[in-house]
Formats: sequence, C-alpha cells, structure tokens
Amino acid sequence: MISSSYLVEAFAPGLSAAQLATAAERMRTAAAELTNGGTPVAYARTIYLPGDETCFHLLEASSLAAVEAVTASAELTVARIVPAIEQH
Amino acid sequence: MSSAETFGRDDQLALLHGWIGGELPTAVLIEGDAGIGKTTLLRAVLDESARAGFHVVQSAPAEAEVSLAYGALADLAGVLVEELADVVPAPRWRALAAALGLSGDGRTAPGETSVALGLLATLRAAAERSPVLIAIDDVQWLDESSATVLAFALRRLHAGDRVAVVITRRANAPARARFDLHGSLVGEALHVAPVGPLSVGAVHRLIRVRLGLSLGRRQLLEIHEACRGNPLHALELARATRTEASGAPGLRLTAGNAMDARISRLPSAARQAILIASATPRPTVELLASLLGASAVDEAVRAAVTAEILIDRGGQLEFEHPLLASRSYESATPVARRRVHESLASVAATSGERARHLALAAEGDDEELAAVLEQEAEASLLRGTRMAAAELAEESVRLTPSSDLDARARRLLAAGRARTDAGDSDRARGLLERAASIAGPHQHEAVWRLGTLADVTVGIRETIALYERALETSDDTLRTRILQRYAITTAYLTGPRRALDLADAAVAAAERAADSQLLATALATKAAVGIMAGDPGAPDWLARARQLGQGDADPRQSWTLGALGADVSRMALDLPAARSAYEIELERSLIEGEAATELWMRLGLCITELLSGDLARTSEHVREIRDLSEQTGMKRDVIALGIGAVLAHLGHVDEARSALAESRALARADESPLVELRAAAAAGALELSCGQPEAAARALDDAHELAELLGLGFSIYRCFEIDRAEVHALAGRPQEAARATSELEALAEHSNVTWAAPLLLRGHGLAAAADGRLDEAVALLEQAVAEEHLLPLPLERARTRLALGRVLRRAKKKAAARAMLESAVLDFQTIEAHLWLLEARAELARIGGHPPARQDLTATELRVATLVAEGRTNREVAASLFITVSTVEATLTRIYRKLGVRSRTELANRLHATEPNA
Repeated sequence: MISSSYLVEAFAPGLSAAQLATAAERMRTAAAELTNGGTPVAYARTIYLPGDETCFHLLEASSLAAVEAVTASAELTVARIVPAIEQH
Repeated sequence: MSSAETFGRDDQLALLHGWIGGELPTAVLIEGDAGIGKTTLLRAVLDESARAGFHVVQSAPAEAEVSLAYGALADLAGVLVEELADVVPAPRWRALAAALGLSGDGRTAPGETSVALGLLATLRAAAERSPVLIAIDDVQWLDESSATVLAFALRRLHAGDRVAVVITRRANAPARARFDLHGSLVGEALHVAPVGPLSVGAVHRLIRVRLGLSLGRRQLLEIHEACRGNPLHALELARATRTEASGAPGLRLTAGNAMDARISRLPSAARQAILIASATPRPTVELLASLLGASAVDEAVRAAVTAEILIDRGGQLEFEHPLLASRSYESATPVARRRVHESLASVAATSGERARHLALAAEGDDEELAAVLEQEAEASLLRGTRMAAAELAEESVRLTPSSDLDARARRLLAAGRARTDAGDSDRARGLLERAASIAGPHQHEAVWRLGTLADVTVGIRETIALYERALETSDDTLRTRILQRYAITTAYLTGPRRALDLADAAVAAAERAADSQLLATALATKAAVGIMAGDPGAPDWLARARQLGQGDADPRQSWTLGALGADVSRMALDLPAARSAYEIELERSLIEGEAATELWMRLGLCITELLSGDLARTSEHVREIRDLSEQTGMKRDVIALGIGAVLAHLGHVDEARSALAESRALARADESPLVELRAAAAAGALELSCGQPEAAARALDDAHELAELLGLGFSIYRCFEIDRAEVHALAGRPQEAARATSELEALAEHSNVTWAAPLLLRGHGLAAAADGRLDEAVALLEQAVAEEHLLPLPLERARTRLALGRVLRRAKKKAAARAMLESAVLDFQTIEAHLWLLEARAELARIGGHPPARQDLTATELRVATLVAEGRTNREVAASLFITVSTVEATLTRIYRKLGVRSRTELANRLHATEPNA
C-alpha cells in the first residue's frame, strides 16, 4: 500500500524541454519497474526551477528506501529526498 | 579545492575549451569576484588542455609575491629554459637564463627587453614541439618584472604561433603591475569569460560534495542569499552552520567573519603559523620552524591543514584560497603584522627580502632603514631587477624623515632613475618632478633626467628647455653628461654647427672635471658631431678619445665610446674600422642583453656592409633588424631608412619607395630633419637608378633644402649633391650641374677629406658632358676612375665607370666605351646593385646596335628572366626575389609575350644573344 509522498530534489543545470521530459520519463519508468518487482512506487509529477537549476520529482511510496531505490535505478544525482504532503 | 567538478559551469567550460582549441595564438580572461570559482574553472581547463596535447606552464602569484622580481616568470619559464637550451638562439637564451639566475655572473643582468625577447624565442621553440598554454591564476598579483616581460613577449606573437594564454583576474582588484595586451594580435583575440554566481542548486551540490552536508531548503536559500552565489562564501557559511548548535545563528555571520571564526578556533601556534605564511611569498614548513620552533611547527601546520586553511605540498605551503591569506593578514593588528615582518627579516634568505620585510615592519620615519633600502635598491639595479629596485627605492623615500631634504631629494632621484630604467615613464616623471622641486645638489640632475625622459616621450623642444635649465649646475661632471646628450639631440634637430659648440663645451667641462673617461666620451661625441659638420679635426678627436678610453673600468662608459667611435668611423668612410668597432659593441650588447644597443649596432653594421658592397652580410643584418624593430618598436624612422636603402640597392623598387616614404614621414613627425634628409637622398638615388630623373630631382631638392637648413658640411650625408648634379645633367641643365658640384667642392675643401675627389670629378665630368664638351668630360671622368682608390664605396666607383662609359659612347669611342661599361657591369653584378646593372647593360646594348631585347623588359622582368635563363625553377626564383610563385608565373608570361619566345630555352638563348661578350 502506498502511503506517503516524497519530494526528490536533484541538481539539474541547463535542462532543455527535451532533457526535462527524458528525466521525468526515467523516473516514471524506474518507478514502474520497481512496482512490477513488488515494491509499489508511483510517479506523480516533475517540477523544474530553471533559475535554481533544481528539479523536483514527486513520488508516492511506502518508504524512503523505495524512493531511494527508484532514484538509484534512474541514475539520478540526488541532493535530498524529503517527505512531502500534498494538497490538491 | 580538490574537487574536479565545476558545479554548474559545464557550459562555460565547454566555451573555454572551444576557444583554446581554436585558432592560435589566443588569450582567455576568466574574471570574477574573489571566491567565485575562477581557479576551479582554470584547473579544469588546464587538465583538459594537457590531455589535448598542450604543454602547460603555470603560475599562481600570491599577494605577498608582488615584490618578488621575476617570481612568476621563474614559474612559467624555468623548466622551458633548461629543456630548450640547445634550441633557443644563444644570446636570447642567455638573457632569459640570466634573469632566472640560471646563468651569468650574478653581478649584472640583462634589461627587461632582452629578457622578453628571450622569453619570446623560448616560447616559440617550445611551440615547435607542441602547443603551449600559459596559465596565470590571479594576474593582478603578478610581479612587475614578470608582467613587463610577459606582456612584451605575448604582444609580439604572430599568426600561427601555437601559444594560448589563460589568465584569471579578480574583478575590481587594483592591478599592481601593467599586463596590457591591448593592440596586439593576441590582445585582439582575447576572449573574456565572466564568472558569475552559482544557482541555488549548484550551491547545494557544492556543499553536499565538499562538506557532506544536505541542507534544508530554508537554510539553503538563506545561505544562497547571504553568499550571493559565491562558492567560497557558501562553503564558509555552511561550515559555520555545522559548528553551531542550530542552523540559524551561523547564518548571521558574513563569509569573512566565518573565515575569521574558523581561524580563531585554531590553537595559537597554528594561528601564528597562518599569519607568518600570509606575510611572505612561498612559505615553507622550514621557515615556520625557524620562527616557531621545530617542536611546535608540526602540530601547528597539521591543525591549519586539517582546518582546510593551508595545504602542505611536501614542505611548501599554500593557502586553500588566496582570500584566506589576505583575510588572515588583514585581520591581524598592525602591531602583530609588524612583528611578523621583523621576525621574517631576521631569517630572510636574501638582502632584498630582508629589506622588504624591514620596510613593512617600519612605523613612521626611519632614517637607518631608509639607508638600508637605498643600498638594497642600488644592489637590485646592478642585478638588473629594475622593477624591484624601483620599489625598494620608493620605500626608502617613504621612510626618509621629511626634514632631511637632501636625503629625500637623493632618494627621489634614485627612485626616478630606477623607474626610468624599468620603463615606467609616468611614475618616473612624478618622482623626478618631486626631486626637481627640492633645491639642492640633486636638483639639476633631476631636471636633466626629466629632459632625457621628454626626449623619448614628449618631444625635442621640451627636452631642450629642460637641458637648458639643468645646465645651471656648477657640477662639471653633470654638465659634461648634459652637454653630450644636448649636442647629439641638437645635431639631429637643428644641425651640427650649434651642436659642435655644445660638444666643445662638454669637452671643456670634462677637462675641468679632470675625469679622463668622461673626457673620452665627450671627445667621441664631439667627433661624431664634427664629422657631420665636415670639421677636419674629427678623426683626431676620435683618436684622442680612444687613447683616453683604453682600460676603461666602467662598462657603460666603454660601450658609449665604442659605439660612438663606430659611428664616426662609418661616417668617415673608414669602413674596416667601423665594422670592427660595431662587431665588438654588438657582441657586448648581446652578452649584456641590451636590446637598444644591439639594434643601434646592427643598424650601423648593416649600413657599413651595404656601403662595402657585401650584400650577403647586409641581408643577414636586415633580417635581424626587422625582427628587433618589430619586437621593440624602437627607432622606426632610422630602421625604415636602412631597410629602404637595402631594398633600393637590390632593386625592389616598390618596397623601397614605400620604406623610404615611411622613413621620411616618421622623421618629419619626430622632428628629426637629419633622418628625413637621409631618407630623401636615398629616395632620390633610387629614382635616379630607375631612370626617373624628375622624381629624383624632387627628392634630392628636398634633401638639399634640409642640408642647407641644418648647415651640414661635407660628409657622407652630403654626397647626394653629386646625384643632384647628375639629375641636372640628364635634364640638360649643365650650369646647374656645375654649380651643384662646385658648392659641394667648396665644402669639401674645408673638411680636408681625400675621398671627395673622385666624386667631385664625376660631377664636373657630367656637367661638361651635358654642356657638349665631351673631350673635357672624358678627361675628367678618366681622372675620377684613376683616383677611385681614394673612394671606398664600390657602388660609387661603378657609377663613375658607368658615367665614363656613357660619355665615351657619345664621343663615338666604341671600344673604350665597351670596355668601361663591361667593367661597370661586372662591378654592379658583384655588389648586386640590380637597377644600376640594368642601366649599364642597357648602355652596353646600345653600342652594338642590336635590338635591345632586354630594354623591353622592366627591372623585375629582367631579374626573373635572368634567373630562369640560369636554369632556376619558378619556386627557386620566387625564393630568391622574395615574391610568390604565382607572381613569377605571371611575369614569365609577360616576358614570353614581349620577347616573342615560347620556352625557357628560347628565353635563355635570346638573353645570351644580347649579352655582351665576356
């Protein structure tokens, strides 16, 4: 059961639109692979702040470890992974 | 800073690599605030460039090293000098090696221009093997000697020189030294890479990688705002948060305070070690041990290294960042700083270093220390480190009690002289003006030196006004020196007559001073001016000068005498003596690394060899002169004159016209009528040899006007009057031809010069021929030929034979004419006087009545045709004549058309058919 949201913060200098799409797709794919492997992780969205050269990926997972596994699988250089609370 | 990652600078790095990997030479300036990441970028560039095959040489001068003469140059060129000793031309190698203390006797050292030429030659030799990358980190701390030499050498890089320069510079830092590439090829190729702040993300990455910290967003944003994206400050603030109980209080610190706090947390011995290291260039563990004690130093250094303040590279200490050094030094109290400098003075390795530390330890006036610095400045000057000498001299002024006017004036004068020698005219002028404002024994010398500065920088008229003021001195030694310079300056400005009066006064002053060496140079000056004035006493004055000057212990006096003597011998047409004297002084200038003297001597040798008719040696000197002139920017009007004269002799008409026109324009702009006269005379001779009498007349009339204005007596500089006579004769003006010759004859009678006779006889002979008195003309010209042994100028002897041959042909004495003209042809061939050779051949061809095939060809066409007929390939012809292969091909096409031939064989046969029989 997916219970929590996590915000993944990564240093991402000078991303073009295509590169951003690729980064998001890698996260989505990695989350799907982990889910298929038995650890449910859902990719929610990606937000990029060009001025800060920082990319935020929002994931839903049961644990921090699951999110770390996704970021490792996506070969992402992570600055932080922190719990997040979403309000729609 | 050990991480190789450049944190958000990848695009900028790619740009830098692109510039350096592009067309060479090139220069890149990485500029930004302190701590912004310039050095990190630079290191990434150097690593990549080394992988790409560049030979990287680098220097990272620190603020404490600004006074270290040639410090940066030693970093950049030390290894190259040793590696390339066998490849770099010996005089250039010696100059650079001597400056770096790798050769020489250590007592005297070459001037900065010669060192710069040595560096340029070494860089080029290195670039032959692989492209060279010169890297200077923090160029604003470059010592003045290195900056002068480096900028000079880099400004003279040519297209194709495989050299790249990368420098970093702190934005808004006042530069201690001028490092100006403006107006040069590499300066125009300068790319500027401003380094700006890091983004929030990049700062976070930096902190995470370097300190292992992952910050909350609020804290990260606060740090980013406080440090404004400066990586060094970000790290300091992040470190501070690590040592605080919570994140927030640490952020109230500035980066500077954070650095101070980091240092203050260290043990007292470590703090003292850091302060000592910040106060001296090139600190070592050994140095610290000598001041702190061996037992304390290890612990102190370890603590400083652990705190990431210092880096220990096998005993050599560096600061993690230059800001840490300057911060440490500036935050110490003045008392603490003075104590450190006092202790550093006590263990200084050289007297220069000791003097510098004592100066920095001084508080207020200190006459004893001022005297020490004055002596050290003098010693520095003898070692050739002029910039260091100038700095020490100025320090001695600063410490001199204001009440001691005599000492202040003396030291201001010494500092002004040192700045002049170092090439810093603006600063020199300021110091000399201050010295000149203090009444006393040094005032007149200060005024005189202002005059010599004005001579080079402002103009002759201001120079003369200052010399006049300086002559109010009663010191005969000083008067002699002033009058000598004044005499030479006046000779070039207003002619030799007034100059001779001044030279006489110089001799009288030297006699009163009872200084035989000084008298020798004064007599040599008088001889030089006297020769121009056509004074018959000039050779005797020179002989007396040489006798007095024998065994001279002062090398500067000795070379002045030798160089002046060489000029006098040349002007007196004693060409073997001139050659010998020039060669001796040239060798001396190469050994001492005096580029200005080297240029003067090469010019003199070049003209001497040209007059002697040795074109191989002449061309060799022309090549060196062109290089030196381009590299030093000195004496452009005289050099253009010399090059123009050689080109004219060889028959390169257009280039010769251009060079001589340039010389005349430069001389006019510099108010140098004597040089302008010589260039006009050379231009006239060129036009005469091209068969352009009208153009010749205009140039020669200009020369005549200038000669009258200057009041020149009979000398080599006046002999163009015979060419004027020839022009009048060609134009059918026999009276004017006769008058020009007679006026010259009157001057020659006064000067008692034996070699005048053959020239005068030629002039009279040409005038008689123009008047239709052919028998008389033949007699006069035959007598000129008979006396030609008096005239040591092969070109003029050959021209006399040509003149006689022409007149004999007109007198219908064909056999005699043919013999004389064939002799002239041989003479012109021997000395490679191409234009006169064509004239002589054309004249010879008229005797036989054959269609003069050669006459249809221009001078250039005939040269090309002759070489082709000798069997040379087009490439060989191009190389011989300094033209392109395509020019040779186009010229040959025209020649074939004009002569109606279709092959090289037919061409050779046609030329042979019109060749005079041997």
